[in-house]
Amino acid sequence: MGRNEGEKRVMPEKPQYQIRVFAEKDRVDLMKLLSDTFKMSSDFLVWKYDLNPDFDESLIIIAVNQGQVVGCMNWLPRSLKISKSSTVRAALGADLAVHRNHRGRGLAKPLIASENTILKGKNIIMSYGYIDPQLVKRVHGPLLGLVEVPTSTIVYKKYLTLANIRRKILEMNEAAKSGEETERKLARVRMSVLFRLRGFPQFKIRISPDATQLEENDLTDADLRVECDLTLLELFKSKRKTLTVIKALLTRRVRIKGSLRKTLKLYRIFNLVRVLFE
Amino acid sequence: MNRQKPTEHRLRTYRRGDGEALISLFNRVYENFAGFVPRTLEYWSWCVLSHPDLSEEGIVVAINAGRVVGYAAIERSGNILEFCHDPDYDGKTLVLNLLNWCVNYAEYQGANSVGLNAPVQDNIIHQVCRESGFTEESFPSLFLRVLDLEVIFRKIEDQRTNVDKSLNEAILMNLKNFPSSCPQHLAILIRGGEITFSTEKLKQPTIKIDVDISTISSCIFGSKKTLYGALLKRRLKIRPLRKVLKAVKVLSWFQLENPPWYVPKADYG
Repeated sequence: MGRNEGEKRVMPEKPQYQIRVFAEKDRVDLMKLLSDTFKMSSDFLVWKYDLNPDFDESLIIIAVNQGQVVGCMNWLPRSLKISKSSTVRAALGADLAVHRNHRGRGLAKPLIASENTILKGKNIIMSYGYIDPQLVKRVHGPLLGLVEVPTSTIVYKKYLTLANIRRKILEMNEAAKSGEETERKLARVRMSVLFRLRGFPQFKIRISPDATQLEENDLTDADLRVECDLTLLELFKSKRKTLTVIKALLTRRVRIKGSLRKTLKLYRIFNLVRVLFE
Repeated sequence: MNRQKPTEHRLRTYRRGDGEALISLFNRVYENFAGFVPRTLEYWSWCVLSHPDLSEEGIVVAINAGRVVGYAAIERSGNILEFCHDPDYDGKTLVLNLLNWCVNYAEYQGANSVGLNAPVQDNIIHQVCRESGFTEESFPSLFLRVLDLEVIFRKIEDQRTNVDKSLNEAILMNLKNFPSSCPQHLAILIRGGEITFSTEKLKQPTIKIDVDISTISSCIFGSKKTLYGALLKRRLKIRPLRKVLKAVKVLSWFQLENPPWYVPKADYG
């Protein structure tokens, strides 16, 4: 039985993108895209682009769909030392943005690859950027042949408030309300844990099936006390989390004081607790 | 004889006209790091002084006998854009005082945290941060790409001191995966310690090297081990086989001495 006209499946047309160098008429659209994507204030954008003495408008590339700027990338030229004695003209790749309605369509690739043509004739012999390694593996690496440089830069951090942890706890409580898996994991947990972590003010969290609560003032009567001298990054962002935790416990860089039963319970909800510190 | 380093200093906030002295100290302290972006008054005025999250009250300057011996510039949100202490000065007290000033300023501004980018090699900052209860986080991954191999090689060649006058070779590098806008060949002609480069395809090279963009970049920024690793993985192909060691020797001339990379927050907003 044949379909009538109304039943015909119509394949959505693949959007057409024009990749080109920024022009002054694109300014408002571009600023809006950057502001929406990176939550940059207009003051910050003016500083970053208009006030930057090295800024070169011809090094902004944009993707346009139906007259609207839906993607962009730019390069900031600068002198860069690459060894004790060599300084080169380099470009820092920055602000790769794709409008949320146009993501997942491979638009980032032509924007990134435009580096080959856009930097030509600018006397720039190297490009660099701070990029998520996963993104490099998927997109940048195969396209451009980027190499990772081991940096000697370390970030020292001291948290003055527990604002982030408080926000994460709110999110965690929301997730527990709507997520069966979280609800099941927390079902039989009822305990309070005092955290004394390097770089953080002391705090206590009270975990129960109903809600997790943060306590900053009353730090007494905790079932467990977790003291950690490790960088949180090492402990929570390691690929082999279990191994890292065991190693940290054995070397006494993480110390847990309290009953074994509660310690095992804490380990059971380890993945829930670790999101507080990410 | 150990010279006692001076310790006395006073802290004050930034004053108009301090810029030159701060830039001069920054350039002196960090010029030997890779990743260093030389500070000019124009660049510094933009990346620090005009930063929308920084006010002049967020720049603290340490003075000893009228000389700037350290400074820190901190955003209202608690990120330290630049932090610098004079190596000829007793660092620990100075770093501690500058860091405490930054923590107090961030607290006063209601910031959630204080963050400082520092070189791993700076033991004074490391020690003070440990003692002041700072934790350590990793720096974002830094990736780079060579766009013009010939110019990079020329730059390195200009600084090269190890000249082997016995070597006479005509090397042709076939560059794979290089952008079409870049030359696909690089000829290196070595005669009696003199090296010349050309992007023309040599007709009768004595050594042929096939290499892709990421492998040659890794080799430039890596060690001799990287070179041998690339050879073993067949990502670097050298012909004829009997000239492999000579080719590796030449390529190793074009390896950077691999200094530590340090990037202050001010350089990437």
